[in-house]
Amino acid sequence: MNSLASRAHPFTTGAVGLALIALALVLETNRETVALYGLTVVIALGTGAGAGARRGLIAVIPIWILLFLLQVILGDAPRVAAPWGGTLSEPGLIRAISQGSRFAVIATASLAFAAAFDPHRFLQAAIARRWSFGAAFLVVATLDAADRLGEQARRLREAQRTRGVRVTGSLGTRARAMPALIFPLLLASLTEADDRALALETRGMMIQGPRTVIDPPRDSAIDRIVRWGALACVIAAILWRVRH
Amino acid sequence: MQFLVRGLRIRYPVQQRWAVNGVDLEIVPGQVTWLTGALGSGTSTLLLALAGLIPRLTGGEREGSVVAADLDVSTLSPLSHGIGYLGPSPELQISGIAKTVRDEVAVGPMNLGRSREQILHATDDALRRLGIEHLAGRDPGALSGGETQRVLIASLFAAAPRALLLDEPFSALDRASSALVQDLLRQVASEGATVVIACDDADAMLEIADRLIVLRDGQVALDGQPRELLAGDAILALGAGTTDAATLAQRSGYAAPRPVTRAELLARISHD
Amino acid sequence: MTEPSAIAPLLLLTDVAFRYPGGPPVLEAISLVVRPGEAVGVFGANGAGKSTLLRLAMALEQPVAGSVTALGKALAGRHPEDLAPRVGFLFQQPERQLFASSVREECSLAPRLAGWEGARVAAAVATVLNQLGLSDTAEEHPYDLPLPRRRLVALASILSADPDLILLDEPTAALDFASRERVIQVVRERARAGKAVMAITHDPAFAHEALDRGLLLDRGRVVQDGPVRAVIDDRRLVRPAALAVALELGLPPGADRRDEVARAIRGH
Repeated sequence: MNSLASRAHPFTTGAVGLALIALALVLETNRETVALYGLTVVIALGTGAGAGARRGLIAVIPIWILLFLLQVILGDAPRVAAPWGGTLSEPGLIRAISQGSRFAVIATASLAFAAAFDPHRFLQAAIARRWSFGAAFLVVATLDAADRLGEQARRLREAQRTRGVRVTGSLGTRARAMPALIFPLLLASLTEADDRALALETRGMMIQGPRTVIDPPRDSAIDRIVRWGALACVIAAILWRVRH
Repeated sequence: MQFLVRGLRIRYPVQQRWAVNGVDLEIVPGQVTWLTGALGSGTSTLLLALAGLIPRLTGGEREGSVVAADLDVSTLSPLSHGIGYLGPSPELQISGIAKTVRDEVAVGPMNLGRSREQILHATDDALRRLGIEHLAGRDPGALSGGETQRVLIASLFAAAPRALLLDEPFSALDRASSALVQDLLRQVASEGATVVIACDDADAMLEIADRLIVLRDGQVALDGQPRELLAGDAILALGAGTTDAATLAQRSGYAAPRPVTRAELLARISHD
Repeated sequence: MTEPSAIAPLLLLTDVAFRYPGGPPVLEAISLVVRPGEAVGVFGANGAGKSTLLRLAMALEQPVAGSVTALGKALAGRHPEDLAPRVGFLFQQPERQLFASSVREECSLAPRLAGWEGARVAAAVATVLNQLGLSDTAEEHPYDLPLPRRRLVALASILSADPDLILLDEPTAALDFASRERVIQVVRERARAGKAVMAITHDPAFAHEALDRGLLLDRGRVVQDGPVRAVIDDRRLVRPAALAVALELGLPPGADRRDEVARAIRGH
């Protein structure tokens, strides 16, 4: 994947995502928030994180439906005629658009960032910046562990089925299978926690002091401009909102 | 790096018995020291103690001392001390922060803050010596047991430790890889490193071990020449295995000292 | 003496092919018969299809062509839990499936799920624990035991319900000498009792002492099917001492295990 999002410095994508979310909370009028959503989608598509835009849409549609029902159909007066023959609430419609577009920006920005996030590059960037190695390591290692957990659960399911555990059928049957499907994962993670701690120590993760980055992600001028620009936009929006 | 063990006793948390129960040893560089014993005899615990990981990481009690290069080993992280330790379960020791096998091998020197050139050079060297250059771009979490084990050994090499403490390093390796690692360890020992290996496979260790220490119930029961001890009765009485050929010789009624390799056994049979 | 072909096979593969969706062929044109009393080793390079063969026999995968029949029943559309307990499967790193609070309870799972009543379960568990040298750890929590013992517990738990077809994936990995001997003995005993065992292994001592027949897979096809000692030599596995001496003394396959060889040496 050679998109802009993957080539940018990891901190840049984070900064852009956070800025969009901050703007979603700060901006006031519907025109502004809807425009912001449009901008978010354009940024996602343009930087190669389009999957995030799609997932954001899927995530936010149930919320939109709920808002429509609560605010528009069941909302307050004054009510106006609706295209389908009934009435809809005018202030409700305005509120629904406001809230809906904000949710959409947050969902899209978050999911696009998650899609573009590369834990290993993030760790390299953190080390290069002399951030706390322990904290950065925790983020990356946890994501890695979560990744592997799915595979472990799948293998465990198979193994228990070969011993006769029934995993399909009635709710009662599946509930009875739960101990066999869950306890081993818990027990293994408890015993493995000790072994893992030992292993990390022997690999040198706990060593204090500067670490060398072999392949630090490039932090170009554009990256810095984008990050400062994102911060500037948020500050400007806050000032604009405060003055009006 | 010489290891001096004095009056060592180790007990794990919530356990009554002493896993190591009075050990005095001097382990010298330039040779391969082989530790073995029946299940529960204390070989793994002794290795952990040499690496300075008990009780700091495992909890429990430690009496006596383990000193390497004039320092109590438990004061520092093993790698900082120049000690490379490899545990018995390969899959648990992958760091989780490396995208590729090359990055995984570089983890050790990276954590030690070596220079970029040193790390690149050491990593390439380690990949080549372990015969895993073809794995360099692979995901470290998606490897077979044998591949994982070789990657971890390579990572230790890349950190250039003065002592290698390995717990069952051949367990997942096939014959060819095993032979490669054995040669490598013997070479590293001859270059002046201290190599201590806990291993159940007498046939593999006979090729490279200079000294054999057999433990029983946390104490040193035998300490001497591998060949001599493998040919005798004492090692069998301790519940530690011997070579395949010596086992067969014993079942065939041969008295000690028994033939220890296949070739010796065959020669003895045709001689009789 | 009964004609071998008259004994119903425990496992039958007819022209079986397998590939993952969108992937290259893993197994091709496999036809195989395994009968009661056979202890079969499955050998081959990584990726040759060994695990897939075992998985097909346990209905963990379905073939894309051909048919698999186990214990006289076609496996098309069946599930692994239907085959338990008459078919048993030992996975790699089998200790990861342990969850009971005692060894005894762990071994009781499969027979209980099969509907056995209490006394029968207890007797079966006691027998298998005894065979694997685990009787003195029966009340211990499996996770308190060292790894080799935990693996033996996993093996015990799949043998306790007395499966007729036993599928093992690297059963001696990470085992100490004494534990490996136990596994060898228990496999021999099951084969003698008329069960069929199919094991993936790269442990030459286990292969020679416990197995009779060797299948060599190469790129998804069976390229060799005969006495296991031929495969051991072909695969350039370290030749066990017993085999080396047996060949020297001219002992035939089947009479070349450690005990027989020891007797032959004594008589020599």
